[in-house]
Amino acid sequence: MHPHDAVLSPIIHAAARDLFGHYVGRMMNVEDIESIQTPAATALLSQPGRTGVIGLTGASLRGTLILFISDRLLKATWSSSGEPSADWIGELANQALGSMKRLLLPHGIDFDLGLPSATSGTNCRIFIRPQSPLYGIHTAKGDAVLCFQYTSQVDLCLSTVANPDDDIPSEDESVILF
Amino acid sequence: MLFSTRWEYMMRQKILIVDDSESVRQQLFEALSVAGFDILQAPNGSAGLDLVQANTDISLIFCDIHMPVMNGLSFLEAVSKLHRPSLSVLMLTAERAPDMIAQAKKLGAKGWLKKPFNVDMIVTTAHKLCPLRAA
Repeated sequence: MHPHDAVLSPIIHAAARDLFGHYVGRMMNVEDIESIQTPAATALLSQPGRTGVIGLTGASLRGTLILFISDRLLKATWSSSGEPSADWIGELANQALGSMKRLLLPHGIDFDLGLPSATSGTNCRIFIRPQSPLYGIHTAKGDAVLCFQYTSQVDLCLSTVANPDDDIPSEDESVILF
Repeated sequence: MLFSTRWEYMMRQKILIVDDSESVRQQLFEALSVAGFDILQAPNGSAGLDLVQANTDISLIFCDIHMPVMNGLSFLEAVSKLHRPSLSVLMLTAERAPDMIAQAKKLGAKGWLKKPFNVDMIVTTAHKLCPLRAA
């Protein structure tokens, strides 16, 4: 286990709850997101589904977020007619990482997001580095797996360092009109 | 003269969606079209700017930040130079960096909408900034 997993775990939980709470249509409980080991992840990843991958780079944190969502759950997140577009899973990975960034910013941890990519199809494998933190996400409409592979050159801590003058909107503010 | 739907006797306002994600554009397109708006789409700021210049009747723009070719803030800056007071721009993004929000505000954006988004919230905001007008 990476020493920073305990620091980042609540952030990953909150980002996953934010993402699926919006798109699955109900607020998720903490119990719906569990830290899992590779065998459990392998079982979840054996379902038909799609994977989004997005990189991040910053002074104190860099790495990759990998988000697998089963086809059944992915369809539940889709608000339009027909099947989800091919790039929707990449966009969801992007939004999950965006939520993490928002939650880390008040603690002085910042990074830039890369452009997301989406993978799907048979015999498609994502290499997950050993010891990477894995999270199983369970909803009434299907499962997902989130993996956050990262390196950090500094001690991460979640003490608030944001300038009180900074105009950081609260997480509840979905719309800010100037 | 009889009208079969409410929309036929209202002027349909034009909205531009600028986002590199086809899936985001598709979901906004469907929701806003059903709500009675005419929709244009662009996959990046550069293509969006072409549409703004070619369509002087656009009332509202939803714009992502991180896009290839031309990003959302560069697009916003270019649009602000067109001096179109009847045009509102809303940023729709997973970003919440305070310096970016401040820059968008300075460049004339009317608001900042968070991703993950709810299509009902998008439609409500569109109606608020872009009320339907009698023809």
